[in-house]
Amino acid sequence: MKAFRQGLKNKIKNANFGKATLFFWLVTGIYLAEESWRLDLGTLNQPGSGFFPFLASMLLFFLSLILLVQSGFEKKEKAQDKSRANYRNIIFCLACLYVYAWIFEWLGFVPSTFLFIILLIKFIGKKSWILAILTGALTAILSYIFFGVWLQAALPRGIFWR
Amino acid sequence: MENISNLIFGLNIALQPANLFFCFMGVLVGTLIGVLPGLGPNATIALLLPFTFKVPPVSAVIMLAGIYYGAAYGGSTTSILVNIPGEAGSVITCMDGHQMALKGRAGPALGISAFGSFIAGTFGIVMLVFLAPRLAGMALMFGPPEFCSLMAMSLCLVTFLARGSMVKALIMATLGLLLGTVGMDLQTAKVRFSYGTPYLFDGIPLVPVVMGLFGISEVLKNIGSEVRQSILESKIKGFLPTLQDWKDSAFPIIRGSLIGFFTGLIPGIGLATPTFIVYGLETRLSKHPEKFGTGIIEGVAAPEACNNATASGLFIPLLSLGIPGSAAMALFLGALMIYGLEPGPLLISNHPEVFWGVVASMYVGNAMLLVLNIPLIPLWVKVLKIPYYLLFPLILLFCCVGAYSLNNNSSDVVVMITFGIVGYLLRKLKYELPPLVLAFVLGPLFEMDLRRSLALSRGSFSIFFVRPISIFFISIAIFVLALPLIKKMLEKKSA
Repeated sequence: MKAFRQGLKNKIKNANFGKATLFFWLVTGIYLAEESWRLDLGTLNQPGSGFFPFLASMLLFFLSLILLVQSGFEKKEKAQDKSRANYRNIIFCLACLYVYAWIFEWLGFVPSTFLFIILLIKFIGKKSWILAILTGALTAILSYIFFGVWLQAALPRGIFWR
Repeated sequence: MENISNLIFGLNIALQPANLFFCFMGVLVGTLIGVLPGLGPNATIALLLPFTFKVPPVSAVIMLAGIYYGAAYGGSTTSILVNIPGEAGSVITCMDGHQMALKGRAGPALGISAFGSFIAGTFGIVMLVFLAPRLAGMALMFGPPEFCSLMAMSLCLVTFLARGSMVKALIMATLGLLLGTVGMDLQTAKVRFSYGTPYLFDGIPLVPVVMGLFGISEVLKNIGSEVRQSILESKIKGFLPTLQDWKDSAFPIIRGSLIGFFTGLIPGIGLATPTFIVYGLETRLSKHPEKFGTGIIEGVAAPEACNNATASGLFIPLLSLGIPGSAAMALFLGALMIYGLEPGPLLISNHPEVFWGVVASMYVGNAMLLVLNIPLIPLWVKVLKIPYYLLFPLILLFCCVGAYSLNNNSSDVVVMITFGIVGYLLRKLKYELPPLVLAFVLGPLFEMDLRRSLALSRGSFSIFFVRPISIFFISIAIFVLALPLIKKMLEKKSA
């Protein structure tokens, strides 16, 4: 299992994401061109709904093809950023954001914001529970006063205040 | 003379207490986000847009404009004090500004940056008053083919001026155009690329997209990197530049203002490129070029004047033609549309209160920045000391609430987060985001004018090559696209 993980890590490390992205653009271009064709291209006299997206997707296809050919001649992928990033933080932050967006309306603004801030400060900021809870409570209350009361934004009340 | 009376009319609007308050809020928030690395003017304008819906359009535009030029002011503070530019226009200020700070001359550096910005801002506004109405008058002669080729030229220039690969920038622009086609086609009422999702019938909303691409992706980049900043601990004293400082900076400020303003008229130039041009020019013109980069005041005065003049110049194509020249201006265009003000050559005649009110408020705002900024510098230094573990949850929270308040719909938040991931990945792979945003905003207008032009010419693309104004724009677009190829051919020949 450890060897498999290490192998996977190495594969990801050495993968050429730049080229993979170009293939992605290429396929997207073809797919969208086909979809636009179905939308009806119309005539040059009277272009239909698919006319403009068709032109744009063909352009996307040709541009990615040019870049792909160019990158084939280059020995090294210059554009790729190989700097190490803390992906754990990024993935955790994204998970928190999606869950926050998901529970925001159901749980209400104040409790969901409280939990959201605690999780971010505790697990990404790596601070103590006390600081995380205090900051979470303060942020939830002050931001409710700022957005909900002062700026009169219609923030969700959630299950507790229905 | 007419312009002067119009400007007085504008000042009457800008000096109304409510508008003064919004102008003050705009420049204050602008300076704050310019000071704080991690939330640029694009994300902030997008963030505050939903909260401006309740105020009259003039006040809203005044505040958003304040954020934009306030950020150009605030960005210099971080460049000088911590060697980290708050926004792109202040990158070059780090060179001499931070060196001056290390030599104990942070005060004069901050002072000349504020005075230089004020002088350049004033010059930019005067030019805006005289140029924009004339340009708008000319644009009344434009038909769909002229607008179409103007937009094509703008998009080509944006991709040409991109820092990285031009083909990559073109891919981004194409992607922006495609994203702009999602939703209902207003000419045929057909829904495109929505895959049965009612949310997408009106198209992908601009504000969450911009917030995601610029705000969320910036936070993801920062929490994913280990780099931490160091802050200048010494006390900052004496903000007033000496007489010698003024003598050394006078011509750099004039040159910075002129170049900044006129390059700002070029679509896609952004705030950063003119500052590099000016810095390069100053180095060449200087009697002691070797001193640049060691902490001389000319190296701060010229780029700081330049970025403020550029900020004014960027407003001209937007307010007179309805064509944005940068991602932030694209957002402004979106905002004007949301407020029901049709941007374009008729904006000045149909909504004079908006145009003249905003222009006059820019002058008032610049004066406010000068009066406010120097005494507030110690406060900005304190703000800089807020640890990032407290700052990033707040930025994320602001983004989420901003996106949600657009339509009280959490789908907007999901779109924002998703575009945050897209923005992060694209940045990581060295794709430029401004061409994407600009094309996304211009896309629907571009498509409409293209289809109208083709209908006018009965299906012939030659319409773009027979009308003089259109030929002019198309020639620039073709030249710009061909330039890298010409360069390569010349290099091969010389080799």
